[in-house]
Amino acid sequence: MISEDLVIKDLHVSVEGQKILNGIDLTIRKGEVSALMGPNGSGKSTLAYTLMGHPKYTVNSGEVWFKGKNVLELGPDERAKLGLFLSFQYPQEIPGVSVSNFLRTALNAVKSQPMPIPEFVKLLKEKMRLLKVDDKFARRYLNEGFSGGEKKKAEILQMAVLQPEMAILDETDSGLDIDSLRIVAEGVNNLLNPGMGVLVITHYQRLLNYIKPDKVHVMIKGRIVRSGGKELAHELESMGYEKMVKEADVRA
Amino acid sequence: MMQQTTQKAKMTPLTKVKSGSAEKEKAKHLKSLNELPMPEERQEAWRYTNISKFRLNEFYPFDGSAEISVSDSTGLKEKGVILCDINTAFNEHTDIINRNTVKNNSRAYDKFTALNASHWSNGIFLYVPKNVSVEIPVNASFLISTKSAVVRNIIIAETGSKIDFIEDYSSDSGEECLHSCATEVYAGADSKINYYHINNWGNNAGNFTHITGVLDRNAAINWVSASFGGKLNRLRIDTLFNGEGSQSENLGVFVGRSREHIDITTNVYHNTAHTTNNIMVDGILKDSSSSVYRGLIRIEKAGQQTNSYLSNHILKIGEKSLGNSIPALEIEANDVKASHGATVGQVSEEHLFYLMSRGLTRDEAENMIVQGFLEPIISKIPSEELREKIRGLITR
Ligand SMILES: Nc1ncnc2c1ncn2[C@@H]1O[C@H](COP(=O)(O)OP(=O)(O)OP(=O)(O)O)[C@@H](O)[C@H]1O
Ligand SMILES: [Mg+2]
Repeated sequence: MISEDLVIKDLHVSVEGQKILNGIDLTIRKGEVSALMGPNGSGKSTLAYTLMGHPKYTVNSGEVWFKGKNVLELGPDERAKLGLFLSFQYPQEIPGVSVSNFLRTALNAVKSQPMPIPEFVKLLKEKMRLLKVDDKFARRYLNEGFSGGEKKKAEILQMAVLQPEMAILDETDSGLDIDSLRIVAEGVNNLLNPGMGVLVITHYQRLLNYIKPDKVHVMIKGRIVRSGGKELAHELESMGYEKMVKEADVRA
Repeated sequence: MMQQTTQKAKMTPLTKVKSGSAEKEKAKHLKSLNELPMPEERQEAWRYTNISKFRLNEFYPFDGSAEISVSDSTGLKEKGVILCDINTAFNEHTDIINRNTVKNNSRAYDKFTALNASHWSNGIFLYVPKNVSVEIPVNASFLISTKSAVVRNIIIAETGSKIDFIEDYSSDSGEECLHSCATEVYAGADSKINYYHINNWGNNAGNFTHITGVLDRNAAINWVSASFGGKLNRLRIDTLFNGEGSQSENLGVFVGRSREHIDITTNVYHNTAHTTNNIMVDGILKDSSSSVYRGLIRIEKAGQQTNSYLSNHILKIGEKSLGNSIPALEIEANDVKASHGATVGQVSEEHLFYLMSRGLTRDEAENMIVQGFLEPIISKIPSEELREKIRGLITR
């Protein structure tokens, strides 16, 4: 049977000749929220970029499977068409390309059938309302001059329109004010369904209070050092990473 | 704002006649053509264009002509507007032509200028009388299907008149061909001209187009140009601010593909006071294409209280593409505002990855970035139909 989960096996990745991921084994299930935590520079974004196919990240060994496909053999666009989505920690600003024009092109790219314009406009409006973003948003150039929080909202807006099956949210909470955090989290919860898996990368319990994780994984120095339920996130909140880092050093 | 353009309206071919009165002048320039040397790349006006490689003689005897069609002008005749073949104009409207051409104090003259002046065989003449506003744009299309075509156009807008003019040039095959075009635009006092130039050449065409705008007091010319294709696609627009208070905007876009070379010059000459100029030319270089943009702002001693700006941005998509930008300021007056800015940059891999991660193929992502890059200029074009037409040519 073809697995609907995103399965990562013994993944080793380097960037510019430097080894960053040292054997990641991780399964992200559809219908579940998984959280990935870990200190700065431990390799969380590297994993996210690698899963999405960023050309800078070299996979030295390992496998990634999703819906029966060897993900590592696919280009970023093919991964998106397969149902993968990455909400960027640092979204790019694209001059001259309006949010709505971009999203319509992207939606038509990932869906097998092009959506008629009026239907798209309706969909976009609905999702913008869900995330409480201004109507003007659609006409603005993609992320250009957006505040940090607006960029994160725009990422989730894209996710809401594209409706991926497997979404990686890389520090979507950073840059969001308290109200926006709640709105975005509610938006994400609203989109969750049994056919969708989410990997939430975050430093803070605050987000996980809204988006309740089924699993929590901790990455240190390019390895998953602990996995558990949501109580693990609470433990980290009070204890920090220090002890785990020391243990990881001992093992390395 | 311009009205809906008449692009889809019926275009009628312009019949060609012979002009007796122009022959003497042509003979004079023929002498120069034969005497002048081929320009060289080290000359300022030809830098970064390897013109010595261009074998002009292969197109001898330069006797082809363009197929010209113009939009319906019936409603215009009553207003006194003249739209006819340039030869007819030289036969019938010599006085109007002479009265205006003396105002052209451009000093640009080289072998290619001489070629045009000695060999032009057809072109259009458009005349708008005093205080006449032409509300519907006049369209002219020029199709080149001969080995060579030498075209001359004259456009005259008298005092207080207003006109929108749209011209598009194309060659209908990938064959080698030479197109030479000289256009003079005379903007009378308080007149307003919106001038749209679109060219779309086959990839073996050599194009040498030189447009000169001469502005009287408080006149305005807004240039819009879009250049596509051509083995060597040269477009030069000179703006001569001869009348106080005259103003001009110049918006240009170009896209180079395969091994095409795009050569754009916009020179402005502020010969008098209180004149305003703003130039924005942006281009895209794909594959192994190359380009050069030259932009001179010259402000004479008499050009006090001039505002003159120029910007040129080039985005390289092709790794083997080559973009050159040579902006220049020559300022003799002391009370002016003038600046220029130019950038040449490579498309960002991070931008491409971002768009591709949403499902766009590399080609789709590139097209989107290209469109976005030119959008600040395109969005300023005051005609939805032309905006759409140019967008279409950009992503063709
Ligand atoms: N493109 C790159 N070029 C050079 N070094 C890189 C690059 N990407 C990541 N690295 C390095 O790899 C390591 C892991 O970075 P990564 O961004 O994956 O960490 P992270 O866990 O996401 O950290 P944070 O919590 O701060 O976002 C860091 O030491 C970083 O400097
Ligand atoms: Mg990170």
